[in-house]
Amino acid sequence: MMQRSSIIRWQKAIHAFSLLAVVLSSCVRAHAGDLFVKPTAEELAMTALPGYPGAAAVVLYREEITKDDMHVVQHYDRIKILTEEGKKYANVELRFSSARGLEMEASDDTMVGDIVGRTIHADGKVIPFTGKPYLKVVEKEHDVNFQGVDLQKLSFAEVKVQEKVFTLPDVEVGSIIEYRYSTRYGDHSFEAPDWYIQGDLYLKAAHYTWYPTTEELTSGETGAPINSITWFPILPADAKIVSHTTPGTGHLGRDQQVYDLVVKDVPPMPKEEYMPPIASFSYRVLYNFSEYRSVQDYWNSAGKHWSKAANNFSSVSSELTSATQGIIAGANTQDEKLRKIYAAVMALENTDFTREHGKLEDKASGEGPVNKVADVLTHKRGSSTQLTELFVAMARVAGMKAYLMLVPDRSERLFTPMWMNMQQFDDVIAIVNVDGKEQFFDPGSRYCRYGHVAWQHTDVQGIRQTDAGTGFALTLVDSYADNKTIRIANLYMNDKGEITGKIDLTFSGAPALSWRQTSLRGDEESLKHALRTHLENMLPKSLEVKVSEIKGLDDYEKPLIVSYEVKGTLGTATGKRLLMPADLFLAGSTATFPHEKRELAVYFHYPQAVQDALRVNFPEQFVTEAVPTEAKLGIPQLAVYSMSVVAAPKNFTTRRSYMFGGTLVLPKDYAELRTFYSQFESKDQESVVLKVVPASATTVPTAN
Amino acid sequence: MQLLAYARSVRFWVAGFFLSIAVVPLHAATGVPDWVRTAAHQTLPNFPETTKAVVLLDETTYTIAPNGTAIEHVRHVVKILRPQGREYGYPSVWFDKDSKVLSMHVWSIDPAGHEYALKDNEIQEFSPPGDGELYSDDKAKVADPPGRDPGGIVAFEYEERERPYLAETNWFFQEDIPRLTQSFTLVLPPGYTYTTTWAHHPQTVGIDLENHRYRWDMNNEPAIDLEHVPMRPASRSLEARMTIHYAGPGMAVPQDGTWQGIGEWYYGLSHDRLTTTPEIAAKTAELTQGKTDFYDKAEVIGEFVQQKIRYFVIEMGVGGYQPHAAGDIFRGRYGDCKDKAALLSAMLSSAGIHSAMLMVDTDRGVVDPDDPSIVGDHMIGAIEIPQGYESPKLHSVVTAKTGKRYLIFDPTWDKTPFGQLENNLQGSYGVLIEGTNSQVLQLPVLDPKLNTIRRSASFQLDADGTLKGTVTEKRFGDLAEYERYLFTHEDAKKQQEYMDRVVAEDFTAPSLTGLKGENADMLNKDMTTSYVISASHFASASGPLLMVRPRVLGTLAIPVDHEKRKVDIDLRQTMQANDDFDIELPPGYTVDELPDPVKVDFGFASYESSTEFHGQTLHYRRIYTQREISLPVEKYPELRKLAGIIGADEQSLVVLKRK
Repeated sequence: MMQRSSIIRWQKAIHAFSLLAVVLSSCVRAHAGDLFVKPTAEELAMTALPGYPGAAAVVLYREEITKDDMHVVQHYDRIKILTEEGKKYANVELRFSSARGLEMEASDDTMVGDIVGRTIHADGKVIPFTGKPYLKVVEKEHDVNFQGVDLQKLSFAEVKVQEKVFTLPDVEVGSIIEYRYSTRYGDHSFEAPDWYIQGDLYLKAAHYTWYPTTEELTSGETGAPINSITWFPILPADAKIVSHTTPGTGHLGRDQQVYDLVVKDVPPMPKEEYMPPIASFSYRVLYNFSEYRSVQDYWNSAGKHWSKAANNFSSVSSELTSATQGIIAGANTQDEKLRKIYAAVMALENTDFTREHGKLEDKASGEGPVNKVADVLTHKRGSSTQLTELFVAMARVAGMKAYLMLVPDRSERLFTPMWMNMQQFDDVIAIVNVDGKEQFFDPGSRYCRYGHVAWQHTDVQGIRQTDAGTGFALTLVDSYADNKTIRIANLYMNDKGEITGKIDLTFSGAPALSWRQTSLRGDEESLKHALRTHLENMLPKSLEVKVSEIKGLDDYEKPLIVSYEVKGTLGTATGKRLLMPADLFLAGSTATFPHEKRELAVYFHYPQAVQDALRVNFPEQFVTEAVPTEAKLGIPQLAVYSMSVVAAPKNFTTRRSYMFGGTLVLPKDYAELRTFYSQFESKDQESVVLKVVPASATTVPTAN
Repeated sequence: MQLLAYARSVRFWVAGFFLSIAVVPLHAATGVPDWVRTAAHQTLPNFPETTKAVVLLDETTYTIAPNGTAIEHVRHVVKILRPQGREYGYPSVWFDKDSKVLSMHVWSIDPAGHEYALKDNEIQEFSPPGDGELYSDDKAKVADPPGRDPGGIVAFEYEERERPYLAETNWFFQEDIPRLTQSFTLVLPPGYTYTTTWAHHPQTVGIDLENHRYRWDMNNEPAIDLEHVPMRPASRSLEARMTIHYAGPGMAVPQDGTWQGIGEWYYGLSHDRLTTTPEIAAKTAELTQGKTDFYDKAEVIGEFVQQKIRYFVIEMGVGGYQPHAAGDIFRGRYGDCKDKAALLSAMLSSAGIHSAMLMVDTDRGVVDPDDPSIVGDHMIGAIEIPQGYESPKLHSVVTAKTGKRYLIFDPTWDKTPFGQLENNLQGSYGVLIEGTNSQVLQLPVLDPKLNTIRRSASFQLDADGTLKGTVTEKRFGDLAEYERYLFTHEDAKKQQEYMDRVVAEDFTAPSLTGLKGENADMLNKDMTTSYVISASHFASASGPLLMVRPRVLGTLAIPVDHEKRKVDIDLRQTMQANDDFDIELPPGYTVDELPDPVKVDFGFASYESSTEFHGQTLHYRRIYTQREISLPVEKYPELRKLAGIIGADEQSLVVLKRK
């Protein structure tokens, strides 16, 4: 679907500030009638979008012109409404944010205005927008401090998020709605545009233009002079950014550089179940003013800044040394030492699961602010990032080479080095050289096993500290054996058909981590409810479930075992038979892949194995008449499934095993995947047939 | 659907806002008031382990001034008991352009006993996002105090000047967490009088404190905790509240605690907004041209407002109650519920049909006939039926005390046929706005036959277990709502995906083709969905036997649980469902066993099912009729039994064997 053009270097600075703060007067004025494109007869008559039956609307034309030296972006949207659903596009909310910095230069008083619009019916009747756009303050906060995972800090005296809200008049199915507006930025800042091209509607045509400032700029982050404009494009194959220079038309008669992009026929972003995290790979062009000469130059510099800040926070102090020595006392090998350090960090409160404490709370408790990792230890709590930094610092104190690594959260996004932006990273993990071998650790994911990382951090590229500075690295891939669920049931049916029994669910790896972290967000009561609901959703509704015991909730190195008591009824009775589900854990399941068509790859969170073993003991009035045939299915190198039912005189036993070894299945392989799933999910629904033994054949108990 | 008149009581604002912002540093805390400490140090009774937090103290003083303004002074202390209780630790005070927060102070005590006070600049402002269809000037001052952990205490005090639009104020003294000590004090100007009405609570007499001050104490109110309760009624239909109505010299619209008073007030507020214009009259004439019958004229006008006026809310101050002028709504072709009701009234008036607005709540049971008040969140229309006029199309009909009959219609609910009423309003109460004839009315519960699903299908079963056939599903009434939405609002891909997902509930390997939706935008006709299905592995072999589920697709499962029921049951709607399936068996197979027929009638619902075998074809028939919209808690065992019977029948199998 999406193709990535050759990447030209770019850099996303927060702001680039002018050396010469020149106040330029605005000359943008909207005059309805002059500004709108006359609709064609074809546009007016359009009732559907070929190839997209039932599409709600289509963007006929979009224009975005950024004029830096006028501190304005001019927007124009023309949308054809094709269905009732499409009418919602007539309700327009233009959100923007502004901030008042602690210094004047750091302020950004963005405002949206110059709104004009109109509705055109299919018969050509024009209804101008004469209403009033409403300004709404969505959030207003004072004294705001932000700190990203890359440790960059921003502070503002006030931050406001506002919306201009309006709705276009008399919109019908068949109408064309169009509106223009301007976004104005503060006189002291310049911000390179981001052109997000692909959205939820088909785009027939769009035109983007940027007139970058001709003033000399310095980076708002580093103070270094800006020496180039860079961009990160993801564009359709036939779309190209065209750059040209108009001599003498820029500020103070300088040459004006212009960037221009025309795109046509852009499909909407696909949405499917089990889709990869591709939201950050829609068609787009992200520009920036850059002080760097290459991609590598950027990452070297950004990595260096991050690494320095992280090492500063993780610096060794006497308190840390003393505490670490105490923790590793008695350990001989590096592995033993590191396990003790890991356990100590895991015992601390992770405030990402509870609540971050403010400075005043730290002061009240006599603990002071958190300036270094030693303070995290003192407070006995920290964020995921802080705990990881503490772990690395303690490993270093213990004499090991330890490094931090920035990674994306794979459930949300993937990292691409071509996009020079540290905001691609969500989390920090650790790399420690243990007895000569580097291993990955995830102490910020509380209850993650030693020597593993949470699945969101597996199989991703990130940037890590090295002895020489920083560099790109890949994390490891889990095996299906790392993420296992074992479900065991032992049920007894009495002669009235009532079922009682015990079920144990044993979770290892990712499923165990998920449940343990669920417990961190709530308490025992909420965890028990969630665990009960989890099993209830699997079983027939006729069974009542109660959580009787949870073992190993805090012991992250061991499986989590949840024991249940169940009672109720099971199976469907006919006149002479009782039909029992062969695997009652699948009674509540539905088809995973019901759709025959697929556009995107199928994306599973992690490889995993699920094993079931069930025994149903029944009374004398039944005998097993038939059981499902044994099944073994699979996809070579990827998945294996097996199921067997063994009948005995007074019980039957089902064994089922499912193992899936990958995370990504390409669209070309979807049919095979769907067939595999359909086959085993059908097998899962088969029944064991118990036959009622005629009364004369049963042994009637005699009274003593 | 949007706000008409939520009474803005003191509420803790639910978590979410602060998740997006950084923690604000706080500064030295002093001066936690004694009333906070006293409340914090009390011994708590035993609560159920599900209790997330408890209100230790809630004191409201409501002072009415002779000029019509009022000052609300509130003290509120909450203790967090569980991690999930942190969401109750965000103090918030709502205001708009006609009200002003004069002061707000926030304190907290963390579980270790450290005390904190927030500075003014640590209290932020927030307004809810519109999500594409709302502009409202409602805003809140909110705070994120320290110590918001289990064992922690959060307290706040504020004073807000209000300009009540009506001589009424509400005290909401019950919620989803327990409330221990609470009081409401009313301070009236000399010469004023008051009366109280109560919802979901016995009337309680206030204490006369002298000097026109009156106080009500309401201690140890239990929680209405509906979390995890299936088929639960709306919490606001159970939570207790008191409404104070007051009157005084010089007041334009004094209130005496009657529905007539409420109606007269709203009539005055809205009446001139219902005025027709030449453009409205012209459109009405165009729509009704050639129609002489009352119903036909009302229907075409009702459907115009329902279908052609886009839902979009703009409300500021009294605009939360008062509709825009009908002419403006008609011109822009958009408006909210009260705007649509106003335009409906204006257009009907142009056609010579009288109608009135009807104030309701979208949750059944919130409007309590014993508690006249403006508590409610929705506006619909009541169309007067000419005397002596009869028609089988008239379903949602009420008769007022005046003897006049009204056809109730909601022009905002865009998938309910004209002449009917959406299920959540059925059985609820509404205020008819008819000047001096204003009154509360109970809305009708409609016949189950007006809300139906009828599935029919003809299948062929292959010996390998594959089932093939054509399915037709006809829906009418509210049960057709989503399907009508699907086939009018969603594209072909989403329609296919939705139906794929629906059939996946009943087949493990389905292939659905030829999907077709008919009459999606014709609300007075069956919404008809048809498709061809092929499903391998539908029948499963076990040894020499082949098992087939005669209830091939579709479920009527009732989501009961195994817990002890404490609240009444909301069945949501009356309805009727029919399934009629034929399955032709593969050659060489015959039936060894059929499921027993089922026939039960619990009064509130009945269920009948049978599977027969004729020739080489299985015939499955069932009919489910739900006659009530709600049940008392005592009926839960019966409902559970019915759910079990339906569940077992849906899973029942026919056993086939080779001939």
